[in-house]
Amino acid sequence: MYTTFTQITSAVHLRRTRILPVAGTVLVRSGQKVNSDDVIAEAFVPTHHELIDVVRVLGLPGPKAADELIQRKVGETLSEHDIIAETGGLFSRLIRTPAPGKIISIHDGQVLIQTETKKISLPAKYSGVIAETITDRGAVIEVTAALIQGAWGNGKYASGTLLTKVGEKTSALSSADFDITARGSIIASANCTNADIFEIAAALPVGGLILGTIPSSLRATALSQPYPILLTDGFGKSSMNSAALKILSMYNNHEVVLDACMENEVSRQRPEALISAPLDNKVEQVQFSVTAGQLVRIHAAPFMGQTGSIEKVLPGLTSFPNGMRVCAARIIMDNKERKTIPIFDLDVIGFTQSS
Amino acid sequence: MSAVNQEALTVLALNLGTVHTQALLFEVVDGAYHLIAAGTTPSTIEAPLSDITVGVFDAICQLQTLTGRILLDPHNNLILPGQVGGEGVDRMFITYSIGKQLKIATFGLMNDVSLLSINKLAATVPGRVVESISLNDPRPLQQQIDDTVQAYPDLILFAGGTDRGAARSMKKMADLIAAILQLFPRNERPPVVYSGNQLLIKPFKDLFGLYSQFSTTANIRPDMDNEFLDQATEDLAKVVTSLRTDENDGFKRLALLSNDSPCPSAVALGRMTRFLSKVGDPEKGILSIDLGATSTTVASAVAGDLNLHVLPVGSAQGFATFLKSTPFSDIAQWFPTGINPEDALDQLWQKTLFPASIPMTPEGLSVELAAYRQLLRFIMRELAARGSLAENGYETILCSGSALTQVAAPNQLLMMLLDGLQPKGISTIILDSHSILSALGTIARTLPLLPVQVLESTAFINLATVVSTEGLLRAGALALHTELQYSDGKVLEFEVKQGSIAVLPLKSGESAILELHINHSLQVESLALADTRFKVKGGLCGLVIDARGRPIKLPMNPRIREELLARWNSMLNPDELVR
Repeated sequence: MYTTFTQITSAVHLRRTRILPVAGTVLVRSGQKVNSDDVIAEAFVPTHHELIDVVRVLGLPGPKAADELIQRKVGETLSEHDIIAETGGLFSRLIRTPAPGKIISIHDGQVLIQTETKKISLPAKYSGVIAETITDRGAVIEVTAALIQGAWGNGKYASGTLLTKVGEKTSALSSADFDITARGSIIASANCTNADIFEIAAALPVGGLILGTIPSSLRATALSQPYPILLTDGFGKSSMNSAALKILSMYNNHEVVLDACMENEVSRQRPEALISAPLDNKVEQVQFSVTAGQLVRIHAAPFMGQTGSIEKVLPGLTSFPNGMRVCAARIIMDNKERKTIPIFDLDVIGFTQSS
Repeated sequence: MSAVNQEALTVLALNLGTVHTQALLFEVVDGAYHLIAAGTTPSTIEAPLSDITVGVFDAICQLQTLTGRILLDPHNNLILPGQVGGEGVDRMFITYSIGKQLKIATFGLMNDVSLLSINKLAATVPGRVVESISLNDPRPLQQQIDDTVQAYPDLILFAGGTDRGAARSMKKMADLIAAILQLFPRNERPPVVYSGNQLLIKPFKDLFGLYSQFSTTANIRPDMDNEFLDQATEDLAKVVTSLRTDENDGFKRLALLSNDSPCPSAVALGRMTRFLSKVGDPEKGILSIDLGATSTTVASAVAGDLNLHVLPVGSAQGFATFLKSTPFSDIAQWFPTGINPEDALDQLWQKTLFPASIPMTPEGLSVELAAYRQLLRFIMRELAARGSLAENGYETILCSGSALTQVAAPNQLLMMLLDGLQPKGISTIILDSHSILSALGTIARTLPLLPVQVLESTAFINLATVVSTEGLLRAGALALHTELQYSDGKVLEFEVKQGSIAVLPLKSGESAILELHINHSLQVESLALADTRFKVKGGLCGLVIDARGRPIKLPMNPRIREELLARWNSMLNPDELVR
């Protein structure tokens, strides 16, 4: 039996693929060290085109006549006012390019010119080593870091110094947390329940926010902020899960890369926070299927954000007070209480330590 | 009835979804195919495993445990075909709904003819039309090109021209598409599917073949007055399957084992719905709803005439689309007493992040059921807007998808379906609790006898036969008087008041004769059913008379509304059903 898997780990060796949305030029080599802000690839995306119908403009009998008069070839670059086709003779009629550009195609007396392009640059996003390059598209970067995969992101990205404002697990972000030391920092806190806090953070400005939860009513406000916001546990009013909280407290004042991307059905990339950290000597073991002893986080009410370990995966189907009968596991919560939770409400977090 | 194929006595069907992966085992027992067992596991198409075959392996292992049969060899390969000792399976088929929503650009000659038809064809695959261009398009040509390039479609659908019809206009449109194709990097050009004038296939193949993959379907408008989508839907499904297998290595490996091309679940559902509508009441239709994770497939068919729609709303990934397009108050109107609206909103948005999550408390379940009610309302309104609802209601409503079939107790489920679908006339509501309908549609092409025999078995659950009234009448007034005559001759007389629900005891599999004496202000279907006797079948929840009118109107006052919802719930849960 499998369930969702979220990495919340103090040190992991990971690879992240960075690719352009369209083909372009890769600017790095395998083995090269890169910083998060380095551009590793770039491409030019066409944004405007002109289609010139030579037959119609010159009043020709057909495409064949047009082909004879077109003076250009596919791929040729055109400067301003360059001639595309000309009838010749004493009273020559001609067609000039409406703008500088490049000829994409000539077909049946029609000339297609790409007249505007937009340059897009692909930053590394992660500080690490290029493990391999992907022809025309990008590269795979190897990073050793503490990793917190989130549940939701507002689609923004930044890096900065981590400032963990979690005196106690349940403390919500307040205006008092935004003094001058917070400027440019990535601030971590249990949750935020007040929309005004987002505006205060934007005014400072902060580098970004890592929060356990926010009420879903603040979702639109969070999306409109210019800085990244990552939720480790999702929507609600509960606190941050203790595993993420522990890592954020451990790495207070370290540099953090906050990629609060929105989960994308193509890339399947999840929002995450990475903090450069050396690997410790513990051997870690990947275990994707649900088994006893695994560390889990609960992502549904009424235990949302709470963590514990699986004592036993219960056989067959288990009945719940609402009448539903589903696969479930018995969990020893962090406070040592035992709870029976549907498997589908569990997230296996990080890796279990091998014995 | 013809005999079963002796070389296909054991059949494995895989159902590959975004959230769940299912393995279904069918076998010939006493000369007829039956569903023997179903194994369901969470899908493993996404990280961290990112390999659909892991979940498939698990689901097949479940089948082995459930049946005691050996289906995998010592190297964990599927034993195909089956062995003399009974190991393995004789045939394997795949139905799927995995894969991203496709961005589709459509091109046609006339807005209200070929473009309309090609957009209908586009609606049969999971995706959305991101650009639509016809000869009447008011934008300058350059703008049409730029807009299409910036939309970055995954697929181009092109239609127009009756057979032996327009060629010049079609060529002009083809040139535009060819120009657009050249603006994409060579290996990222969207494939072109052509569904128009069949005489132009050769020149278009020559033209588009220079730049991209080109495939064809039957002409969806062979003449001006008629639209034929059925064959084109099947042809387009093959193209989509090819795209899906190309983007997913695990799927490609599984497809090689399949005895027929993997079939999109929407198309398979359409096949079954069309088939059932041909064998049922020609005046009334069949409605099949498969509430999937990313999208919902709705197939509505009357006398073989199918309308198939894949809507971009669902119970998981498609749930966010639904929440964004629906006022929360529309969902909250279905909440029972004691639900905190803020907590409910959080729960629903949290569901978009963890689609497979299951409510643990009664309150949590009530919130989810309220959302599904409104999701079904959304779907029915969308169908009405597209002109795809049968005028006389549906003889049978088939509900599929784990969100619809496994979320609650039968009476809770029936209440949700009645509120959400608000069926008209007399309908039998059937649950496809094992989600096998699509699998049957896939298998039907190769083994047509299998779906017929499985449909006659107990694989489907008859939830209830529902009689719904329409018309204006004061709440509490006598809506109808019923007489239900059982097969043993006993007669149950019952009066139902306007605004209420009544449950008449009639077990699943049991038949009885129903006579309705309807208040002259009301009607049950436009058919003349008043004061006539007709046969009805019972279901898990009995025979239900829904006299709440259509559409159901809920009081604005929250307290009164909550009381009414509670009363309806208790009406559908009578303490005892005795006759």
